Amino acid sequence: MMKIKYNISKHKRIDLVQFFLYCFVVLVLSVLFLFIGIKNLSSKEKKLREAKEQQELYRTKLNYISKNTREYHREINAINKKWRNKVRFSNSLIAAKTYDIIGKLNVLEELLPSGVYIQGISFKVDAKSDIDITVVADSYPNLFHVYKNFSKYDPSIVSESESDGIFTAHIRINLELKKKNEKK
Amino acid sequence: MKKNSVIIIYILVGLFFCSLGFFIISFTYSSLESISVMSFQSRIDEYDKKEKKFIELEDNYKEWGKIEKTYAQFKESYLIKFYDYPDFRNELRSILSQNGLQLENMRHKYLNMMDDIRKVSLDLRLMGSYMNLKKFVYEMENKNKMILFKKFQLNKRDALNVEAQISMEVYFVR
Repeated sequence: MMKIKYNISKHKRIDLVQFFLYCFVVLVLSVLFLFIGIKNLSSKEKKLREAKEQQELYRTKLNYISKNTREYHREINAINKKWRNKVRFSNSLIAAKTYDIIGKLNVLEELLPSGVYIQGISFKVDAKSDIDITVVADSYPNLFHVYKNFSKYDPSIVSESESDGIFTAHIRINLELKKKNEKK
Repeated sequence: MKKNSVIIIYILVGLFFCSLGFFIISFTYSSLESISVMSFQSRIDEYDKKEKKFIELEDNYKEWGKIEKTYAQFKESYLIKFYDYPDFRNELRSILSQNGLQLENMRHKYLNMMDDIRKVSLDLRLMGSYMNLKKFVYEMENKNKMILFKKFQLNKRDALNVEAQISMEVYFVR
């Protein structure tokens, strides 16, 4: 007759092998998590520390910059207020000194065709650059040649006359005074 | 045995959750730090620009700091001493005669500018050849001092000569 076995105990018996196997797996997983966490922190820590140091350096610099920027602007404004007129005056003199009058006369000479002569020139030495010229030509084509040559300087013919085959014209052109290279 | 097993289970479960927590926190922390660093790195250009601008401002500030000295140097180098005015007039006449120009008329006007600067306006009426006139202008123009031509009027007098009305300004320091 076969013997029937029933485990009717209230607390079943633990399978120790299985139990310790599970414990081992949990332990290994826990150690693995700990290990990866520590490794992650330690590997990034150096880079982060360097970056943070750099960041701190920049922050200090920025504080210095923003503090001194205000200071410098305030002082520059104060000095500027005191010296503005003198600086403006000096700069206007320096600018006026750089106008090239000879260069202007040379341009006029180069633009005159043969058979045409300048009878009068008048101009102010300033940035406006208007020049009044009175030219005399021995023929109308020659005079017309002058208009053509001056065309790029926006010429306006103020007056034109003819007497005994001599043509006289009063022309106004805008010849910008090129500034010489700074010599000061 | 049963009681010990429960204790072991508690310990292991506790250890597991602690290590899992530590793992998650360490990743979160380093990710957040990395984001912050990356955002800082992306703004480095901006910081560098600010620094460059500041260096320019600092140079500008230093230049302004030297303005008094620079202005004094400007006056010293480019303005004629007013007590040298007679010498300047003699030199002007000498340059005119060296260039074969005849001084027909000269008018002076004095004007006090700022501080100790004085302006003398000169109106000259000259006679001579066009080339000589150009030489005179060239010579005066290239002088280091503040001798400025303001107005020019040339008219042909005869075949060789032109008549020139020239306005000049000469700046002196007392």
